[in-house]
Amino acid sequence: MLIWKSLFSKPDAVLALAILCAIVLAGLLAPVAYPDGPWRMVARPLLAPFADMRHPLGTDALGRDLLASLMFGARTSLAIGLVSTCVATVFGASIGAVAGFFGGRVDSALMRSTEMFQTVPSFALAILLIAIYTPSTFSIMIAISVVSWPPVARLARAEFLSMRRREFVQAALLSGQSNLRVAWSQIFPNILSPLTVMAALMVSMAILFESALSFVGLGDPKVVSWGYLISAGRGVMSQSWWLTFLPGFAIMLTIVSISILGDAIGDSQDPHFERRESK
Amino acid sequence: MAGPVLEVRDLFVSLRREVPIVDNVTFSVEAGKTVCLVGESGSGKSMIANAVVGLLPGTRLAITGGDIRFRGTSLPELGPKAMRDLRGRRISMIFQDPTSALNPVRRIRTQFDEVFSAHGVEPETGREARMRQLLELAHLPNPRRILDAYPFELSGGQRQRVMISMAMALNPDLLIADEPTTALDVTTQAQVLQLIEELKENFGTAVLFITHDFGVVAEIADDVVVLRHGRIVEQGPLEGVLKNPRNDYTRTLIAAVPHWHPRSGALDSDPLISARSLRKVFKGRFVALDDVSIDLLPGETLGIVGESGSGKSTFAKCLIGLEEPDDGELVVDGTDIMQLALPQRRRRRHLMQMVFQDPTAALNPRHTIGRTLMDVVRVNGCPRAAANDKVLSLLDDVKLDRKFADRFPHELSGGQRQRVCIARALAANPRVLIADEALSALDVSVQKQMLKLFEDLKKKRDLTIVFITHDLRVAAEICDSIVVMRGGKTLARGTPKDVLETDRHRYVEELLAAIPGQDWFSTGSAPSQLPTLEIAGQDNTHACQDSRLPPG
Repeated sequence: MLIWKSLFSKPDAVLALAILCAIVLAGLLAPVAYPDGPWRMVARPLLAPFADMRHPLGTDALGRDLLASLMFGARTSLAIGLVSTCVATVFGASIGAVAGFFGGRVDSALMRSTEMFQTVPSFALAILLIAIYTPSTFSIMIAISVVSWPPVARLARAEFLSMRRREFVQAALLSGQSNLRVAWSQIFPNILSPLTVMAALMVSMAILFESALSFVGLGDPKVVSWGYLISAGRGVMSQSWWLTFLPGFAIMLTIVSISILGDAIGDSQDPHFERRESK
Repeated sequence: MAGPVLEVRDLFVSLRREVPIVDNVTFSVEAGKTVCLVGESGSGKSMIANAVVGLLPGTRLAITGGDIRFRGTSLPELGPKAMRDLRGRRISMIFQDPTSALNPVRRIRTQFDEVFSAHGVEPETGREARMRQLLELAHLPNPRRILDAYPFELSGGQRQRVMISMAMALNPDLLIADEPTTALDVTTQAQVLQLIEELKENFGTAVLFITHDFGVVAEIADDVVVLRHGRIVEQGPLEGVLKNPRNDYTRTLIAAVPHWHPRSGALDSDPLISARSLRKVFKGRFVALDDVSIDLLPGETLGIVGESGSGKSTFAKCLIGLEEPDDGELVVDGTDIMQLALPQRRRRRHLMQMVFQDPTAALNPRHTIGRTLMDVVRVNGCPRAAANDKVLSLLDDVKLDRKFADRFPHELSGGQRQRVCIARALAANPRVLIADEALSALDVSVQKQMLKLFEDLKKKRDLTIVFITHDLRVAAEICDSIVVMRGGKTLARGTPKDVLETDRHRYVEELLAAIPGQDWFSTGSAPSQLPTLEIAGQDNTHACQDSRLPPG
């Protein structure tokens, strides 16, 4: 397939893909490697990394294994990142597509309501939503989706609006294809690359958002996430810096990989890609 | 001053130092003379101009051989600073699209002023007077108003004239004009060509003029250089090249200038589609269609002719349903479809299909040709099993190789893309094909082939064709009847012979007079009594008339 071919032709994309696979694998294998879960106190508190090879990354202030926490944290952070991005992208893109395709009053109505969401500070809105429902993985996902769909809607609307006037779209409509079919098979493939790039950025944004929520103490209390680890480790940062550094590093690694991959996928959607490379 | 202003000797421009784009080109331009570089897209004509001013696009293109001498100085050897000093002051350039060459958010005065300040000439106090004088030379009415205007407040022709006055501001020795009239209407084109001619004579400027249109060449050139694939195929004085072209390719280009054969004899039957007093107003102010009534007879080719803004495209869009007229009737097969509900109206309109001007924009860049056609074939009720054969037979119909089905639009040439667009229109089994300036984005030699394709398809499929164009000659050649539009109104209607010869409207006279190269290519406005000169390999209908008048 074209996507794989162009991905594998770029070394940075291959590296990013490898890192992401490793993180996903770590998350999947967490219950196998640590059947007792991340909350058990297993060793002396504040053990430094590599001091005891049974706990290679050391322990936190309560003697819990940091590697186990990081692996379980990957599950939460990635799940929240992916699910809320999917929900926000699908919802935002549909709203934007309808607004851009039909234009006129439909467009104004939908865009005014989108702007209502954009005028409220997103972090405050998310906190409010989570405070109304009890903090849980599900409510966090919903809250992040609710605050992050408006930019997608605006992007999709702008793209649909300009595509709608293109002659190949008019020709497709004239030839008798239905609105839905034209939107899906003629316009959508052409806006896929900006959407992919945006979605990749949103995954990173969602992970950061969840970290911020956990940091202020609104994370799901039943599960570990990278953000929770950072906020838990900040009290002992002066002596045990790795307790904040390592989860932060994990977040950075994931986000950079996703961005690189998003760009690469965006490029691979371009039919001129092969030609440009060969020149 | 002795010697030519510009001398290009054995010039090579290559892509990545391997593939020559310009291959061993030699010519020279003398003061007060115009040299035309003629060729189709990809012939390297613009590349030569860019090489002269040192603006080769990208880093992969470079001059790999030969020399360009300007008043004896070798240009490729000049440093960037010396080159910058020459550009604008002694060599200036005008481009095809005056809209994109002017900064849209600054007044003409500011932009004009930059020409002087960039080269540090003219004391600030004298500039205003000089600017007005230059604009007056370019026949721009009310120079003060023009200077205060923003580019969008001017018409295309005015913008191009502003560009020309800016180019002439510092009295350059050499003016390079890269297709300066291609984006303009035929009447505006005639004025701009005349202006360049005048300025050349007043200032003694050498002009390097780039074009693809032999009509324009005949109008303006002293010497002609015909290029193909980066090589010179023929060069010499205008008269020699036009009268006795030695090369086959030159002959093809000359023959591609549409000839003057207004058809007579109209069809007589009940109209298939009849538009009655259509009216369309945009934004409540601009009247695009004002009481337009046009009948379309089955099996005819109807030409709608007019300049930009005449409402010809709006009319087509109203016919096909891309715009809804504000008022009027649209009678299809005896029923006024404006009274019908939307789905029924859509079904009636389905018998019409459209071919757009720009085939690149009209094809989805992410779909293969096969997929594009397949979508239309399937949606028009062809079963899955037969659809593939149908697609292939459509490609046969427009004379494209079947292997194109697997290609993407960007792998095709402009002419091939337009064929695909026609195939797509045919896939919906239309009875009426509306071609909206379908030829104007194509090279002249391709235009000729496309006209033939339209004729063939019309016979084979019993089509009715609406041909929208600004080119009277093309309309005269292929249409059974012609409607001339201006400012949203129809001015004349009838057979080409009636409209263009027997019973001419004043506006038609104007349009005819503006067609370039009339001394060489008869247009009927100055009917030529002289014998036709037959070109070898062409039949009589494509013969070129030789008026034997002195050029200019």
